[in-house]
Amino acid sequence: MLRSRLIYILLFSILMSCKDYLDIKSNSGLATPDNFEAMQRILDNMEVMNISTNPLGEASSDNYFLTLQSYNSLGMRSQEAYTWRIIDNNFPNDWATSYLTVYHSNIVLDNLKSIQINDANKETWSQLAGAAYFYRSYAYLSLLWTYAKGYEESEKDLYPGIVLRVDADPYKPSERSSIAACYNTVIHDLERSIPLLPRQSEHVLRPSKAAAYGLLARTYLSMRHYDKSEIYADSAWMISAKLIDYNMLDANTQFPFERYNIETTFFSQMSTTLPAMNYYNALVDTTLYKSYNKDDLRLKLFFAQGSDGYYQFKGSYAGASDFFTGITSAEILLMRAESYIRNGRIERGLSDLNHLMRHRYATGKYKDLGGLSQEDALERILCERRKELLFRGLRWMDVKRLNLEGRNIVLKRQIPEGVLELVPNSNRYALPIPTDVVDRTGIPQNPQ
Amino acid sequence: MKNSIILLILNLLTVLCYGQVLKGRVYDKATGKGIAGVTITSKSTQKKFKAGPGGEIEIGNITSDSLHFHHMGYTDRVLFVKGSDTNIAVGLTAKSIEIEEVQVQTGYQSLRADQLSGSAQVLNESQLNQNVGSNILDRLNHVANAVFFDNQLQASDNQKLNFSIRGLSTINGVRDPLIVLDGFIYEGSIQNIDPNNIESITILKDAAASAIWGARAGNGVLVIKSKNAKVTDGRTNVTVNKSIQFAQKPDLYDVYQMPAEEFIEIEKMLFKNGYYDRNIRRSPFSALTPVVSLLQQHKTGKIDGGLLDQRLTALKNIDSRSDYMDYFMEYPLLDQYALSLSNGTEKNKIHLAVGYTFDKNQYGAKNKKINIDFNDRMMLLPKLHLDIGFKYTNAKNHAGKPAFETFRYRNIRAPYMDLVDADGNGLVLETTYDKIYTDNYLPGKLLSWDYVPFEDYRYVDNRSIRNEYLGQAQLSYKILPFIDLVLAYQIQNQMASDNVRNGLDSYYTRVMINSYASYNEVTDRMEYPVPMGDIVLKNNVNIRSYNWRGQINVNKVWDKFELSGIVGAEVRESKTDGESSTLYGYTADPLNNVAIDFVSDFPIGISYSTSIIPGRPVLNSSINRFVSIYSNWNVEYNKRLGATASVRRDAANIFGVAANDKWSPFWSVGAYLHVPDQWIKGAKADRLKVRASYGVSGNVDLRKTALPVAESTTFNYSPYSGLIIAQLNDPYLRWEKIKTFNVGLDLSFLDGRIRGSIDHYQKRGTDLYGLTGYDYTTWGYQSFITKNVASMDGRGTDLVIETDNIRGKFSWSTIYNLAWNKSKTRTYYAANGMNVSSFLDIGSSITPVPDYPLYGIAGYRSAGLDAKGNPQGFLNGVPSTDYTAIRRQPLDLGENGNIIFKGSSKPQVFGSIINKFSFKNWALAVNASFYGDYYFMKNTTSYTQLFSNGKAYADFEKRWQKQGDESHTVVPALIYPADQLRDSFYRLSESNILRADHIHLEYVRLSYASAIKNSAKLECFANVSNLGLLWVSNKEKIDPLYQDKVKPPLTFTFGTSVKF
Repeated sequence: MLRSRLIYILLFSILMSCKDYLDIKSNSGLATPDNFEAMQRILDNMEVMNISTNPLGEASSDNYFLTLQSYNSLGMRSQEAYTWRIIDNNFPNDWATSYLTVYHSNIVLDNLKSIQINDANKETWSQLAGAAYFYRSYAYLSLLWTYAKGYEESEKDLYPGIVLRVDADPYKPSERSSIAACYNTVIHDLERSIPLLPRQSEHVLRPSKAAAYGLLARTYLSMRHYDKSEIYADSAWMISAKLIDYNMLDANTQFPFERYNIETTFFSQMSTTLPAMNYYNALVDTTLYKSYNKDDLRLKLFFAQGSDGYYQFKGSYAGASDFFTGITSAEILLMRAESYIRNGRIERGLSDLNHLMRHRYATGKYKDLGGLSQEDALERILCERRKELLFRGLRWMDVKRLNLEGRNIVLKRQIPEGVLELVPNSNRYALPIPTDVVDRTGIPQNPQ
Repeated sequence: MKNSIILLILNLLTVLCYGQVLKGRVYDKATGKGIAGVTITSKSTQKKFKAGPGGEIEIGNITSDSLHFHHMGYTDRVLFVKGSDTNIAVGLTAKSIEIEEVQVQTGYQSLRADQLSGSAQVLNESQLNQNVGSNILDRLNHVANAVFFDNQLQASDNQKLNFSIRGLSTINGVRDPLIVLDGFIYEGSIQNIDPNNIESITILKDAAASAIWGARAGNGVLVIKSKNAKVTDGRTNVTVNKSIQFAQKPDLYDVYQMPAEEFIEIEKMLFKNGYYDRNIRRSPFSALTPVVSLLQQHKTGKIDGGLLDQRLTALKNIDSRSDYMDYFMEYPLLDQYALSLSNGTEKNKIHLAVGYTFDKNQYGAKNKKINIDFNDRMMLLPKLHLDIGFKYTNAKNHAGKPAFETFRYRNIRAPYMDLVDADGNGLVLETTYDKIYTDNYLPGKLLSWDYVPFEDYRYVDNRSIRNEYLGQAQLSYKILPFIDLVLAYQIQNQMASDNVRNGLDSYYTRVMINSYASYNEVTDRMEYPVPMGDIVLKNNVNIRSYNWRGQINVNKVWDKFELSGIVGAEVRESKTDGESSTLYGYTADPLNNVAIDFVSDFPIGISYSTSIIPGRPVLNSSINRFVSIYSNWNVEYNKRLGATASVRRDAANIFGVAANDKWSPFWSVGAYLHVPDQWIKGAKADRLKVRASYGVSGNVDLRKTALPVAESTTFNYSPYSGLIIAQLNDPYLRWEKIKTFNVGLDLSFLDGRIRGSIDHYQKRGTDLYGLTGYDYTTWGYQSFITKNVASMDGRGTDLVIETDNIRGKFSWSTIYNLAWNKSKTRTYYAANGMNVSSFLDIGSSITPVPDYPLYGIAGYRSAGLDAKGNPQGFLNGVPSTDYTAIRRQPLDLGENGNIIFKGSSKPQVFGSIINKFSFKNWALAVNASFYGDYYFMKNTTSYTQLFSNGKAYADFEKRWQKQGDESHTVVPALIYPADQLRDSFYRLSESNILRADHIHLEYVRLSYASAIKNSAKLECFANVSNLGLLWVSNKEKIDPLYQDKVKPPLTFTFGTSVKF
């Protein structure tokens, strides 16, 4: 008996040391992300990395409205989203799609950490790392704009932001970091990515320095740090300054803009079109529509006649009914213009605005602006910003930051039960985190 | 004479030189006659003696000792003798049951049935020959106990075979039992094995029997043993087997088909209501049924009313089944030949078997298989044995005609399809494209778009070939009298290759060429991205495995103790490589094919769409490695009381690092008691063995891996291809555990007139793969991941009892083969709290809801039809036709709402009763099978389906048609437009869930066996099977196994076997 037990133990120890034998991948078709090529392909996954901007913010904003008939035809979840009364928002949702982007960025960053940098691989390593930081920051920013209150300098440490995942380890518990910590991370990552990224990339689906500068400008704009947003918008404009002359476009096509056009600095798109924002349902806000000048070419290029004399939006830079949310040189120019004006350089700001408007109006029909007071110039630029960047996933963030300045923008919804209003700076501006995530992690929910 | 003199001399010598001589006689207690050749073993010296031809015993050198008497057919006896004894008379009792002599194969060792503490059933050659057919597994059906063959299953990665042993042991894991052939796991196709060359199949049912197989034994193990040479007298034994099987043509008329006249009336009604307008407008190229096409032509003025009526009347008289049965259906045939030679001597036991099988099914598909099996057991030295074995299988398959179910107009199956005209010529069937449209599309520039079913299959050559090699070598060396060292190696290679050549004249090829072709206006030429020539689809799969094993066998006998055991280790690798590709523009002579653009998106002119050309080469490869150690021990005291234990430890390349490092082996313990004669005499029992066992075996899913793995994707709007991590890194992912407790009784009463065994078991599956919610902030791809979190319970009773009702020249015996099995989910985390409403379906897939059976059916409570012929459910206790609200309710209220859970959808009791009659050389066996305690859902007509697919069931004839019908039917009225929710409600109504208990008559087998001169044996048999339903519990007389399916036809098999 004893002898056989000894043999047993001996056999076991010999066999258990055959770890190498068992260290073989069971299915060759499934790649593990430990080499540069696999990592590049992970970052090139368009659906995960580029088509992941949160749609909930835009769905909660005032660029569109629904007729009572459209509203009634929607399911419960869509009606709740339209009226800022979301209850569950369980999977699938934009929280999951953004964190899918974060996860894949982290997988690449984790694997890059274990690769030694040398002269041969330095360029590839840098580009991959830079791109990964960029994508992660983009996702964090989108989440912050949707699920956290507007950035207020005096309160930034008091309110919770989003969950920061520092690596791809799925066993680390999720916790909400403060708004300050979150924005700091976004800024830090983007700053890190700038020296690593190429000036311009092979394709606008991939990040570049111009895109990183543009995203930093967006970040600081949403934080109301206009001095910084001016610097970065300027840096971005230095690289990416092409504007489309709208006079060259044909307004009679269904979707006049081409995907990946010359104005696109970085391409991204909303992860999905929520039923409320479906092409046939979402009608452009009438006040917004009326604010376009009759010589403004955007009237015909952005809008198509819908039912009952209202208009539908056809001006997406995705060249389809999907909503483009990427960075364009026009947006960069507008951010620089607004920052100039806020920082006191009114004439420079107006000059930028005029430059853009000449590309948007029928040739010769635009009268340059000049000699305005700061307040008038600011109002003008904000108005033009809204008219240019509608349905780009920016309005929700804009309303939040503008209301923190006291601009008192009240959002309204007309539904069968009456008119609903969203009070400025209300808690509801931080949309509720999915209930299934809150239940499973215990992170604090946003008060509504 | 010579023997007696020698004995006498020895006797004298021993008396003079040594000591006492023990004499005596061993005799049969019942008859008093001496028993020749009884083996007598001295426990102290281990010396063996043999009794003489008349049962005489003569043993010299006797001291106090214990002598063990053993002979086949008699119960062993142990006798204590004192040194002073000189004469003994030993009576042995004849055994009417051979159970103790049966050898149970576990794959690692061969055990005597009486050494087993677990539950196992051994089926010998005669039992395996009761059923007919070329697939060895099918031979187990209705003969093996607790083995359930499910003809309703769809093959999936989790379930490639269609049978289970003792019900389910898992929810999401692999469900197939493990197949072991000649000691090693078998990865090839089961159809490769030639049933004529199988000696026995052992079914290991509980943990004590199967835990030795570790991580793959959770669903039970089937151990198949091939024949090998046995006789040790140097003579060559030859066996010749031949059998032939005929069957009637499967009868398509078994399945309800709406008469053409009624069908046409419905089409006319739909046409009048504009049902087809949208399709005709949007896709004018799509095929229409002849009726709709005629109606459309009449509407657009292309034909007049008279011609329309004439054509419709002609169609009313056609039944598509008659053309198919006359011109397509063939008589199935199976022809088997087998020849085997074996020659056994002390030094060399050789066995060679050759088999040929020819199989033609009702579609004319032909299968030809050659089997060669060779094994040789050699004694190189007295202590050293070498066994080598080699198996080769070559199977060729040639596909036949298309099945009847494939004929349709787009997606509509109409009853009036005319396949062959009066002169025997094939007719066109518009299966995808409308003929009028295609005739006018690029006329003269394309190949014909016509599909002629009667001709087309002749232009398609669909072949597959399978070659399997299996080689084994085993070296065993007796290091000590009680220890053997065994080294074994097996290598296996199966190459399967499929080749479908669609000739240029075949419909498939012509449509492919036509679809991608386009007319270039600039050059005034046609362009053919899919070139002229045949299209060949190829698919190859190669499975290779090797297995090393080192084992030590111990067999030691002491005074009252007997110890036997094994300790071993093995390494196993199995590699599968697959590749598939399509060749275009193929010609055989000269051999050539044309390079294809698999990347571009080509316009498909006829349907205004675009598509890439399919068939880009795809490769896949997977490898599995296992390292295991195992041990099994059996200790027996006084040949009465026994204890067993086994343990096994597996590590695999698919398990997570954390799982591999953990010490959690599979193990089992068991005990048994042969109840002493004195205790059972009172109950008139011949023998009684009580046994109990408990153990843990595992179930591993080889497709799962603990690494993060990425899947490829491409995108319409990106020049780059992407990867997504589709599976998370889970270092804790491990195998499923199945714990089984088994208690059993082996008994024999009334001199063997009643004999058999009863087992009761309870099993619990834990660490089952199940979906669990997790914090998807960490990943985001899914909101649930698979972890080892689910659990289920199973319990049941197996009963195998054989009774000899009449003994003598004419004898009659009955075998009762019963199995009860119930299983239910214990824990399972899933989305939206799965509750009883998840069972609203036909019950064909596993639905894990805690405290409910794994397979179940629930239905809506129904309140019959209302006065307008609409089906009614209940809403808050009141009959209602608000189907949307009725549908919403169950999710909140479960069974307190308006649904009722009926029961399991798989039988919870099943088995067979076999009656055997024999008179002189003749024997007749009749096998009836039964399945009980379960439910099935009756197929019902859905009007939405009827309008879109043309599908109707027999209940259509009983539908509500006028006021008052609601008192005698529950089938709803036909309404237009159809209401999907109404149809769905009716389909899932309680009134359509019927009890599924039934009894089938499986086969009647007549056989004749006799000895012919020179110890040769002849056996002939005739078997009639698929005799149909004997009794069914549902009043509508539906056979639950073949509801709306063509029944297997009456089959006749004749065979002979000659052994000499």
